[in-house]
Amino acid sequence: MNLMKNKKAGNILMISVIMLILNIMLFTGLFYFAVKKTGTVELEEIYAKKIAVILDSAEPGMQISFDVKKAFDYAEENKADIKTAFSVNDNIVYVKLSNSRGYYYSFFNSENVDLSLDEENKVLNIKVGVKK
Amino acid sequence: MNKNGGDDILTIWWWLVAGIVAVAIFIMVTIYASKPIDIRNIESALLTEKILDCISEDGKILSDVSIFDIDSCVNLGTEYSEKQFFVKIQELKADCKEDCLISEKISGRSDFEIYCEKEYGGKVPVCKEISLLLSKNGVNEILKIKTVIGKVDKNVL
Repeated sequence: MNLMKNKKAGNILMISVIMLILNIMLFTGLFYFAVKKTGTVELEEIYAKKIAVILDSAEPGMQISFDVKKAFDYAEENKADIKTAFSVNDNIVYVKLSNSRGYYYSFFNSENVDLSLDEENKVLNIKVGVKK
Repeated sequence: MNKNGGDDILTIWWWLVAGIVAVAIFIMVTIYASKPIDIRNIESALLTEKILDCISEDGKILSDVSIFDIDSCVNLGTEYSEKQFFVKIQELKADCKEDCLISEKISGRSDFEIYCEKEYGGKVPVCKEISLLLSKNGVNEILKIKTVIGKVDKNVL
């Protein structure tokens, strides 16, 4: 009788442990999905829009250093080439931190713009030049 | 036996609830992640400031508004096939009630101007309007700048 009781208790414990492990797996998966989903795409958009606003408000001759540490981490995580992650062409800022399409946003400043990446300090140097 | 059956049912119900929670989280995260950040208010403020810097200096209007070249001041977009902006600059007589308009300059999508008349909400362009008292040749004048930015698909879900 006691043996049967113990066996039953053992089964319940086993089921509980399995349930707990499965629950942890489910919510870890959800958490991972949430972090991934809100990570790269949003970061590309945030960087593109921030750079566009910086350029729109910049005056000729300005040199701006923009911290892009997070971009380095994401690019490394997504095996993207950080050297080509930031670019400006024809009044459009392009940001590509993964192997997806990346993100782009236009700005209206009519000055010449030069972007260069300082890989050592993880900083994007923005130079706003003379009129085109 | 009955208790075991009860446990099974509880497990199924539990997983059903967990599934609903998972689907809810999935939907919420997807909606949140795909919601863009709207920066058009900042853009229209910067555009207005840029135009104001080009057309005036130290509180004085530099040239006739009607001959002012907006394209030499700002480069308004190549990202879209259709223009995504509207700019209207008006030079008005100060202390005036009728026929106040001296000159004006319009550029971009004139169909965007209606978005300055009232708040529409939703997926519509953003309007910014400012009026400033400046002087030209020693006479006080009002400079009115109206800017509307479209770019709806990049800023509104």
